[in-house]
Amino acid sequence: MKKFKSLLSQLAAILFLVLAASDLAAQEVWESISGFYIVSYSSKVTPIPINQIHQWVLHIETADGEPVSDAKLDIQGGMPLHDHGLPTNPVATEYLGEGNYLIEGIRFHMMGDWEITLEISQGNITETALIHLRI
Amino acid sequence: MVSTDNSGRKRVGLLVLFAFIALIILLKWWSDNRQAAPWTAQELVILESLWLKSLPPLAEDPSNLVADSLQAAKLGQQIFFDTRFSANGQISCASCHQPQKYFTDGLNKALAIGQTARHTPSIVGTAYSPWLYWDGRKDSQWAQALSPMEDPAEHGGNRMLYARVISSDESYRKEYEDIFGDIPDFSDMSLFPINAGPVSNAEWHLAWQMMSETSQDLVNQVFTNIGKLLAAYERRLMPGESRFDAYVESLLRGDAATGQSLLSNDEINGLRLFIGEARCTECHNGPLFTNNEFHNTGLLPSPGELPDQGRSRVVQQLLEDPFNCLGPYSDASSDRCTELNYMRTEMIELIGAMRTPTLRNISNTAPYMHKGQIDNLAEVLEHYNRAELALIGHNEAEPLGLSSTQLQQIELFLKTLEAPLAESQEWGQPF
Repeated sequence: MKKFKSLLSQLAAILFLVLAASDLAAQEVWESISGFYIVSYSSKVTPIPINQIHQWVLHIETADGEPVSDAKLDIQGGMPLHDHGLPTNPVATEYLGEGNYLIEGIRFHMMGDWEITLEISQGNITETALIHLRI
Repeated sequence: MVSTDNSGRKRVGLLVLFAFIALIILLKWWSDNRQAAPWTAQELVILESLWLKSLPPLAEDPSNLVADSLQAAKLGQQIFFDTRFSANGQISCASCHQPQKYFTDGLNKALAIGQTARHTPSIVGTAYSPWLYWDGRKDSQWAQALSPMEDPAEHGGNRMLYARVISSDESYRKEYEDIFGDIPDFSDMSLFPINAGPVSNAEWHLAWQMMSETSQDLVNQVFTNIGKLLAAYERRLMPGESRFDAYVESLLRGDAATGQSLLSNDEINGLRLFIGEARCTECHNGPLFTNNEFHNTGLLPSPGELPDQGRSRVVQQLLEDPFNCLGPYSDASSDRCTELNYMRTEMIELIGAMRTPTLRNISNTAPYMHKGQIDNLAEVLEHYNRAELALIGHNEAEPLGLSSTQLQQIELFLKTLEAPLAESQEWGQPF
């Protein structure tokens, strides 16, 4: 009985870890507001530091998994709880291929919850995606 | 019998008083000696982020090729303390940035040849800041160092005069040429007047306008190099380790007992408030206790003055500055000027916003704020606790609702950031 209990608790722990991991993975991808685009990012400096200007690579694909090439990007952001914006004006400076865009000039000057608002324009379609992150 | 009753009552009264005093002493002893609550893992992460040893190595300054040259720093140190770099021969950088006062002056507004518009900030650690001055109107230490030299209220001279100090002093000339190569020949007065510069003095301004562009450029190069030498010196002014840093180090080693002996309970409580309820680390973050960004915190102007527009007024000026990172006197290729290239130019938050100052040695650098308008730390903390509406723009701070005891504890914590400068023997005095 004791062994069964310990097995059960181990299984519960594994299940918890798997769920937690899948939850984390799920948080790394953001859908645009009408679900047209799927966006993810990676920072060239990890963990993302405060007070240091750095670069990101943004990946954009359609809901069907097709990379989005040559989109025009407008990047805004801020801390909704503090009612202020980003301290810099980040810009997508280069299309790197396969739906990847180089973002330069990003910096965070406070720890806490940040929101990046990404306006993705391609042809006549403009879509907004929100990225939430905690620094 | 009445008198016996009275003396009995007196004795009981004295006993009660004695017991009361004993209780107070015991309570005080208990509150002083009980172990402070342990820090959570999340709090320890924040404490480590404030620790001086978490400061990353200083990145190179691509706009100043001599920034990390020891020879340039030593020459810059001489210039920093040399009063010949002023109109009246009495003012040096050290007149206001006094080493013994952590490179501040203890005044509300600086007094040099005249009185300046703002309070003298410290130079210590500013090599880490992308922006210099309270409003960040310069983007490098060398560009900043040039401005006071031509400000009529500060050094009050002109760039031609300063270029000539370098070229006519044998020792300066030799050192300068060792670092930068030949200095131009300024002996022809028809090409190079005694005094000239784009300054408010009409005579000197006219003399500058009469000079050819080539002559102006030669003078500008020497003037710029003076700034770069000063920056090579200022770049080495870094804070030393404080009691707070020793405390964090002991915590990270897992040595809570040593930690407890380094900071009192009140100081620890102040620190807990500082990184928590008082929200100080929203702006005063990182090992230098500053994010070097611009914030409007609803400060009142000095009596009789209009509110200061702060960052919002200087953004355009910074973009057009010939001494900025993208300008002809910078050593950086344009792609290395990342802060300027991606500078925020339009934001309501920039109205009335000033750069966050470091808090290291803050208790030694009164008065406070960009106009020196607050005399002591207790009043500064009161200001943030109240967080009243800003006269212009939007006050980013919000009322904290802290008690007077809590504010005192934060003030006590801030005093744990006192420390002599790193390597102050070498760099904190005239060469």
